[in-house]
Amino acid sequence: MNPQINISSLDFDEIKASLKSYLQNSNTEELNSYNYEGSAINLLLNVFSYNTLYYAFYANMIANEMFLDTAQMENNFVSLLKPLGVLLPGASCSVGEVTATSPTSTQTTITSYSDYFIGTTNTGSVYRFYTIGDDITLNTTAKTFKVYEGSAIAKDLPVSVDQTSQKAFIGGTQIDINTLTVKVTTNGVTETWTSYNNTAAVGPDAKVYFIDRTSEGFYLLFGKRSINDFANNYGKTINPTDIVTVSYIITNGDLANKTSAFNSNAKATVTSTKISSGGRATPDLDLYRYSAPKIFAANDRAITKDDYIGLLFSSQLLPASIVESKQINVWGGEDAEPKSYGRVFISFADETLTPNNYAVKNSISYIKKKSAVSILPEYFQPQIITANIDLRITGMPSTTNSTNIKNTVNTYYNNPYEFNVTLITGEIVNLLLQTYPTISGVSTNSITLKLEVYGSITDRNLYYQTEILSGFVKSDNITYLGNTVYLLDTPTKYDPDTQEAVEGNISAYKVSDSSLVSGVLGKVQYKSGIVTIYGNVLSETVKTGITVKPKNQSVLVFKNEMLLKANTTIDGL
Amino acid sequence: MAEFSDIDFFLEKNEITNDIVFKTSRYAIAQSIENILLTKRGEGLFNPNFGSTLLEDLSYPRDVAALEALKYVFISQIETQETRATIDKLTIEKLLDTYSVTVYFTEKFNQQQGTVTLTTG
Repeated sequence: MNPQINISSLDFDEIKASLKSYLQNSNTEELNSYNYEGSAINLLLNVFSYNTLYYAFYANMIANEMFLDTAQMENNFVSLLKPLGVLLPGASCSVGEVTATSPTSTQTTITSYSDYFIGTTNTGSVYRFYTIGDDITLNTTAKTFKVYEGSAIAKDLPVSVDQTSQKAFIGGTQIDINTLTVKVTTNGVTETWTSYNNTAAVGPDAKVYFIDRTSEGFYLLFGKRSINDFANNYGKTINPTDIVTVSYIITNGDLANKTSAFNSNAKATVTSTKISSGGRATPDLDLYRYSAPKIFAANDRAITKDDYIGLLFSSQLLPASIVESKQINVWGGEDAEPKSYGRVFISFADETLTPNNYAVKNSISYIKKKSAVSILPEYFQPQIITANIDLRITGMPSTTNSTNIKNTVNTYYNNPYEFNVTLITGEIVNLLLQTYPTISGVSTNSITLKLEVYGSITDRNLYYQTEILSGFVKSDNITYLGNTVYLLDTPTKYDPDTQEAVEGNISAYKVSDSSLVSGVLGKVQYKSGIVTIYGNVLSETVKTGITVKPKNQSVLVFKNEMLLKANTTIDGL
Repeated sequence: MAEFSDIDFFLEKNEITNDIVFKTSRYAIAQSIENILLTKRGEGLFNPNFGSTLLEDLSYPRDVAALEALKYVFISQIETQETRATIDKLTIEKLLDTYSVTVYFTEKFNQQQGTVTLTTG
């Protein structure tokens, strides 16, 4: 019987062992020196193994490079994205935000691709940041705009368009193609043309261009023929007398990330800035692996949650701090508390981003155009909910630092704060027992949840999204009617069957002697986890924390706008 | 095992059997020792420890004491990688610009003796 050959090996040593095994079992008395490294047959086995490895790797690589999920080479990635209608950029600029006013009482103009802001990174490196698109006019009212890091700038650079192919080439992949502006001058009139967007009207007169990526740079394509109608073009063609100019930024990529200090210049006084991010020397293939199929599936329309995320990323309008898909949460109004049908809520995982932030406004405005009729997208500012986790640890050796234990749990949940987190106490126990094998036992003493809110003249509702226990709704110390007080709940209505509290009132008690200061300052719905604080009770300038104890102490789900922050304490330490 | 056998490095044809020439016993071992000595360490892509330092060590003039010390280095390198033989002696003779190295060995299985002579440069 012929010996079997193991053909599944993909490692040099395994392939060689397989060949040796074949020779061993081949009943031949000849060629028995293969086990000795110096022998000629061993050398021959090395060559065979190398050759086998080479072709195994090659076949594996070809197979991998054929699919978006596994492709690694940028060129292949470009080709795989093309049928999905997604353009893979080259480098990406680090993008920051600047809020500025005119330095004088007169109006100033920041010329795009020309005037720059000097920014300094956290390591002390200095970079130039430019504006793109239209020039920005500044006056004494503060205006916020994005700035893009650039190592070199092309401003109104004429490009030659081949009349037959209607193609123009822009060399270099260090160009951030998202900063490109194309202008066409026809008969002395200059107009800005736009990149083709399949929701825009197209026809022979549409002033659009297409972008095609190669390994050397980018092609601009004009006036392409329609598949269905050869009489018409997708977009206007460029005539020999037309002048096409391009403006774009060549970037240092990720080197300029974390630039926070932007200097004022002669045309702008910088009043505040937002740290720059998103700069990359090469495209984030994983991001495109994730978002491209969703953009394609969505056909540039926002229907599912993934459509929203994919479109927001492709829009390039997101705030600078939002760089990963997990930093965006989208949920329907039917899942909101209170329910709000016909709405889609969007949150970005940056608690400083308010609905008035200009990048947030732009993003929501963009996504509105892509949403289904009767669906209204709305930004919901994320809210940090602090889970105070009190642990009881037994058998902790004196050498184990309790701070390290706390940090282990906190880092697990807080790095960074995330949406849609499920806090499971069993998971915390396992985490600690695996990290600190010398500990003999871990259990959770209690978990409380804290939301921090500003007061207002109207009632303020706090949604904990879980059933809460009566007698545990307590506020931080506040000043009310000239007294330092805390708020505490008292149940007022019970379920006749279970005798569990259903509703309760919030009252104020003096911190000094716990005497009642004021009767009803709010109410609690224990089952739905809603705490209402009446108007004019809480400070409008300082956030007040309201802590509750959830009924379920083993599994807590945080969804919608909630960003979980774990705060761990250890009983007795 | 009756004897060790290996193919000839030069893949010469046996005119009688029409097969490639086989080397057996001490001739196979001699060929292996020669291969070890003439392969530079690191040359084998997936087996960088295979080979010896002979070509590097004898690439420039050495004094007698150094040559004496190198003999033990080369013997150790051969014996580690060629376990079918014991090295009886290794001589290094200085020629005009090169060295002639001769290895005297005894096959462990058949107790047959053999020699390998090679020249650097």
